Amino acid sequence: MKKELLKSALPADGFSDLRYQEYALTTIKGTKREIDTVAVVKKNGGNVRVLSGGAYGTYCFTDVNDVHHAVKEAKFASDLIPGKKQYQHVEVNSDHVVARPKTDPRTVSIEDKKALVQHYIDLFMDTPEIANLETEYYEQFTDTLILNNRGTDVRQEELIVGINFRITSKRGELTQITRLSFGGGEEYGDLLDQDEVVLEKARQTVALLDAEPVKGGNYDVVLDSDVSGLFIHEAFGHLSEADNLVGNASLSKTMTLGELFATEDFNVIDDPTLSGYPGSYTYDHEGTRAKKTHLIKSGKLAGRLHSLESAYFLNETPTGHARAKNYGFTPIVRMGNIYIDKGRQTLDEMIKSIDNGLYLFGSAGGQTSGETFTFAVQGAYKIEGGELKGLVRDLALTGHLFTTLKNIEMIGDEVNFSKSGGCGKGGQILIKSGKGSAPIKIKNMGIGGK
Amino acid sequence: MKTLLEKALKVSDSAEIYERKVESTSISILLGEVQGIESEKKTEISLRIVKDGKLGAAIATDRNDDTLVSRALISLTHQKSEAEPFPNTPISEVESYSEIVKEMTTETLVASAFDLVERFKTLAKEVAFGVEVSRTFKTVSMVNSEGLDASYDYSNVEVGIYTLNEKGFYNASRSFSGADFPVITDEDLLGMFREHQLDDHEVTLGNERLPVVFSGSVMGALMLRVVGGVSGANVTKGISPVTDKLGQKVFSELLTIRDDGRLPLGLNTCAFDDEGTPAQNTMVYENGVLKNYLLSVGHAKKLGMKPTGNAIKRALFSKEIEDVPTVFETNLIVEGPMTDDEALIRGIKRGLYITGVMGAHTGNINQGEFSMNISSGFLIENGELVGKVKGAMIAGNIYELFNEVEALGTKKEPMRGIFYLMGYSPMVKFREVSIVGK
Repeated sequence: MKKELLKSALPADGFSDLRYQEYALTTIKGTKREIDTVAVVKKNGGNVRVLSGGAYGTYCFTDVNDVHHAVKEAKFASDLIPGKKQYQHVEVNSDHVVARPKTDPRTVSIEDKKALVQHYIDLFMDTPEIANLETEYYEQFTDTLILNNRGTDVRQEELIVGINFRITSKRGELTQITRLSFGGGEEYGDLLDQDEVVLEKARQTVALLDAEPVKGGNYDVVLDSDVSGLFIHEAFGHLSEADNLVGNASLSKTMTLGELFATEDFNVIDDPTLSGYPGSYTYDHEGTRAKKTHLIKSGKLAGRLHSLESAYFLNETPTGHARAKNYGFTPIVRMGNIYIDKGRQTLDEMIKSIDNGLYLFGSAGGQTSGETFTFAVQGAYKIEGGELKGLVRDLALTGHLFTTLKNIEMIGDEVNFSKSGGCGKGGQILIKSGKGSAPIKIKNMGIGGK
Repeated sequence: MKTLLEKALKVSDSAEIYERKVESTSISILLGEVQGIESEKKTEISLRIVKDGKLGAAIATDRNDDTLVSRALISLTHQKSEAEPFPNTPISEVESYSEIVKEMTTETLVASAFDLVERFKTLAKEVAFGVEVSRTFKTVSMVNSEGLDASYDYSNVEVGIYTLNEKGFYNASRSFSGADFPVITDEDLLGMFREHQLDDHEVTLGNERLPVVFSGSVMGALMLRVVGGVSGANVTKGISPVTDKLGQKVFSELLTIRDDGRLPLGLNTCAFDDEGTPAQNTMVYENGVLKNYLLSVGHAKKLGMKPTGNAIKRALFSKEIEDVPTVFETNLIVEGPMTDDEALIRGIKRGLYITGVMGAHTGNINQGEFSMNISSGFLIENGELVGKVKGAMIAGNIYELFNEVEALGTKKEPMRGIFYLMGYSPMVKFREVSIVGK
């Protein structure tokens, strides 16, 4: 990295920062039984921001020799914006963070990685009625230099490795799709010895062919940790990203700290400093050290996720949550590892408390817009008279955030994190976004069938 | 590019270099204040090589990256592939860019955005709203060892405008897009304002079946599923519901769907696709009858057909240089017998007009299934929009729904897929759709 060249481009006045990133991605993808794509991607680029006028001017470049031009253009854009915004205090850091997994995937040969992926593919495809399988091994390594004109000089390596499967079972015209993920941290070792998990998922995917389609309506439901994690990410997490509040006084009022959102047993935390999950990191892409942040404490709104800009706007402390997909994008406020903290009930107690409801398992993607959210799940068990009964399929959920939060009646006593990340805010798919939860019970949840 | 091609040919039988240079600027304004101006200038290169009938690929951001060829060899060695010859079909010019947009400066873009702000403010007075305008200019060049040496320029301006409700959440919105600065009429803005005003007239629905009108924009959520069905990738894998249905009536005879990569000044117009196949105007469904699949070079060979110019470097959620050319739409055009938009709505006694959905990316897209939250939908009673529907979902399968088409509107809107715009559609009325309400 041409650090001195990059550093020399930063203007002295106002606030400005610069990220330069070397990006490497190895992927091994399969369709059905065959590995049809192996790619080793390498690309580099930078992103400059200048705040000399009323808001940021930013400029992304791929040729490092364009850095002076980038700074000039970014400053020109910022100066076009009426007003003058200046950060009084910016956390200044100087550090070099190196990824040090026990078994580094970059040291494993492509042949060995392929053999591992092929082994799991064969386990799935040898299962009768598994009709289609999409497999992706990914290993993303970034080496990012973050500089600003207040003195921050952070170089950070980030590594994430995992395997994602999308499994389709088929009988006649009926198909069912489930998903399975391994890894999501830095460790190659987490991908090994997963045969039993694969076989169980294959069995479940086939068993869903015998499930009844769900009848649309309102149900009392228990969400497993994976689905609860998706729920809190979609329904509440996005709303706690404070860049939504910049320039939006009405939403800031809706999100007043201290507001009662849920039962007093309900606690939501975002913690990028936990190690080994998709959303784990040390510094965000503005060079702020990541901070464990309580979002809901005892049912009340307790905090939010910040960038430098949103913290300045709300007069709060930056939490280290401004991140970008890669150098091609400007950092926006993103969740790290968001989770619903453990409560007091066992899963068994939650199920026993329901006379006629559903136990939902496996997340399958979601979306949010303001106060409404929706997400799909892979399947569910019926709950009748407090006991788990047969499988149901084809489920999607929808709800109103504030009503649904107040309808959470029970919180499980064990937190688990999903092994794959992913979030598409602002058109930036970020794989390093984690989610977890204790299982939760929600009353009167809207379930859509077909 | 030719030097790199020669270097690649030293280790391969044939080779192709794809290069794109992109410049873009976007501006975002909320409540009359500029939130930021973002620009980029990127050069990205992709190499594909063929050796002993196998294909390998690699990308870089620097032509002098000395690992590019060796990375393409790693890919060639390890992936199972059946390489097809790189095409060298004559490329004819298309109107894929506007000189005005090419020359547009940041100041002009900011001024255009503020023009729109002022216009909407005059119409809607106290309403809180935001405007986003982005301008892209791109040059794509390709050379291959079969003799192809072509390039085209592309420009695009995308304008989004949205209102906020009293709590500060997104309410009504509109998108406009084309190679030229899109024409936005007062009627467009007033239509959005009327939808905004209905936010405080909340209505709830039960579980019922209703006539439903999808706006041109929301048709994109359904067209994702149409594209999944006619994608050569899914047809050749045997997982498309319309495999072996060429020449058969699949949808209502009112529905015609084309994919027109040559549409003058269209939002995805290009001279050739990312494999070098010339852009075409492909009839996909004509009066409901399946006429063609959308095919890359490889899929066309497998099916004994011709490639359609739809192999595009993108994925469902990205348009990165490393995305392998995959079948996607260019400018998908939905058309049929036209009914006046207002008359179409006026003719409905009780029904639903949907202008926004969430969850388009979930469910079994390739099988045509959908189950989506209605994030912006309006109850129609006796031909009038009477309130905004809250908390309802819509579910079904396009292979049933598209046989229920009753009418198509007149004004075409850009269709929104998930992240990206995918072409143009008028509003479409369906006879009856299942709604899951309270």
